[in-house]
Amino acid sequence: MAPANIGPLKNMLQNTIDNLLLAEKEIEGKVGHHADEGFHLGKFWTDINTVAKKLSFDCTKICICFGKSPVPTPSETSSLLTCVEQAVLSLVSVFHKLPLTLGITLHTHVQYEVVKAVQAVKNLLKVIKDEGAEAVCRYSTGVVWEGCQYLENACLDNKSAVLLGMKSHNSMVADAFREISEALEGDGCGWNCLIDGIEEIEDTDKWTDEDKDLIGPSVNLIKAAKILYKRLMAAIEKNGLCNSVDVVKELDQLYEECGLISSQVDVLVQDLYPPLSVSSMEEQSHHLANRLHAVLKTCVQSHVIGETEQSHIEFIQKAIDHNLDCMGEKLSKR
Amino acid sequence: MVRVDKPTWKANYFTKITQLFDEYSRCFIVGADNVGSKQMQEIRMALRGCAVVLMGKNTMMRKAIRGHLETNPNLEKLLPHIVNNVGFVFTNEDLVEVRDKLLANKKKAPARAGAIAPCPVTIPSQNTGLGPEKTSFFQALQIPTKISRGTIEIVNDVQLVKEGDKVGASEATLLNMLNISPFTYGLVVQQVYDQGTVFSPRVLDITDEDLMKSFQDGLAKVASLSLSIGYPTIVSVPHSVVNGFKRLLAIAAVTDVTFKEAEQLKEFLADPSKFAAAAATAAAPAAAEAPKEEPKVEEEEEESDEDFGMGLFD
Repeated sequence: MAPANIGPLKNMLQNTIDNLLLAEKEIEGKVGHHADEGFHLGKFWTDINTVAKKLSFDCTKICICFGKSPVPTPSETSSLLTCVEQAVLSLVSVFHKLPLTLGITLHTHVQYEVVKAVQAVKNLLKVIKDEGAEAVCRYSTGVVWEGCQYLENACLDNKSAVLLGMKSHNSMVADAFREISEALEGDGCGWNCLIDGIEEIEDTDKWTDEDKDLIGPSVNLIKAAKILYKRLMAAIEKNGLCNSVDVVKELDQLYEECGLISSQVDVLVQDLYPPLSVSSMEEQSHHLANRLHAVLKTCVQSHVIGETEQSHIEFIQKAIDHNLDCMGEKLSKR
Repeated sequence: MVRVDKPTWKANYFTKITQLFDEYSRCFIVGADNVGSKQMQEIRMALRGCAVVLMGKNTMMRKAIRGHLETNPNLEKLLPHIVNNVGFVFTNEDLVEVRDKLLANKKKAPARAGAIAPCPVTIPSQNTGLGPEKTSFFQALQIPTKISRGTIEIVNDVQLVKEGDKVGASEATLLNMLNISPFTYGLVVQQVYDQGTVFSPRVLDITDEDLMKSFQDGLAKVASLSLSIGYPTIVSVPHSVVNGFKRLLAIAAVTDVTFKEAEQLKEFLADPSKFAAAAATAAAPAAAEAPKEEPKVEEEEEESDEDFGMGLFD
């Protein structure tokens, strides 16, 4: 496929790219509505499935048509592009029907995936217009397939969207805990970092035994965060509901507050590496503890924590307080 | 090269990572399990001029990316993928070419006990050159052997480790004794980031056949829909013609009406023995091939006899 051949079609492609960009902005900027009269989530996902299949098929047609000589005539191109634009418009229109009352997390997740699919289609057309390399065109079509396939099979409600998001946060927190635990087996030097054009590291900073002892409570706080995610995900899985506006809101609030934990854990871990800055460690540990307490408080007030889970929550609360006390004690002895 | 203290180095790292994301529109997230520092240097050298490798603590990479989200919000999609032993390979070149360079820099490595097998390991039937004192080793792993000219011979190909299994100590020792380095390690592409989109590396291997298959699946759906609602389209017309022809044949079969294409059918219906003869002719080549397979079966039987006798003299 030679890009020179598509010269006369470039304007048509660019027009569609512009239209898709508008559609993308429209979806991204959409705040959502609260009216859910007559809305049926099952029907919504069936419609998304149908439109996503159609979009995927239309992009395959475009890739095949532009992947061989001769390139389509202007009228054929117009017909191909109209099909794509119609499919994207249908996708936008179906997405707009999703009310916020079914969950902000669900809405945001679907919004993200719909934008991803539209962006993939836009990239495919850009590739055809600008690059023209057959392999690039093929994998750009593959990206569209992947995006559409996800939408075809998603079929989520707010509970599953919350769990999906929490799974990512949980994996990051678990990873941070594993990283610092492995570092603690040594002396904290050896950064295993590699990058061109950056100064060599003066790797003389190491933890002393006292440092290692001092950071123990902070590491335990990270462990508490990890356990909290695990317990909370299990509780949502078991007790989470989506059958009323209030319970949906509770899940959204839990998800929002939990999202702040993983970034705080990363900040804390960074401050634990040598040379240890005790004041930063103390400050960031307290930040993390506050965030954990906030999530635990929201948990207790929500429907996901039953009698069985109550003891887990109390255990984590006590662990956080104990480690903060422990840190205070160690610091006062210095 | 200037040596700097860690806080300065960290600040430089943060600047560098944001520069890389601004400078390059594409990158791979690569798994670096079992890749040693020497191999890593070789990979960097092989990629020089077309890609840049960046490794680091995951917490540091995530923190740096979070700090850059205001400028490039699309990077948020990368965060959940920065877990375990991973790094980045940044490029502006063709992704398939850079991926192929990474694949070309894989190195053979001996199996280590406890490692997860990235591929199945089969030991081919062979004379191992090992003395009979090692027989118990093979017995422990249930590998059929016989003694041939004073050395142990493995009688059949044996699958020692399945893909995804943990390599045991005995398996690792045996593979090392046989000088087999079954695994190849290198940077493994886990996710691809291209101008704000994150996708699976499988997408890079899509072929024309995949495209045609996807297109044909779509056509089949259009044809089914057209046929079921009785709305002819260009893709349903061939099916409609074939279905119509089948109906004509059916009418011809039960009436005296005939036409050229129905003659053979009517002949067979009038005299089924002709059909039997035609079927026998068609089956003949297959029957002729059948005896060829028989000796193979016998051979297998012979081998299994040897297996059976093997343990008696150990």
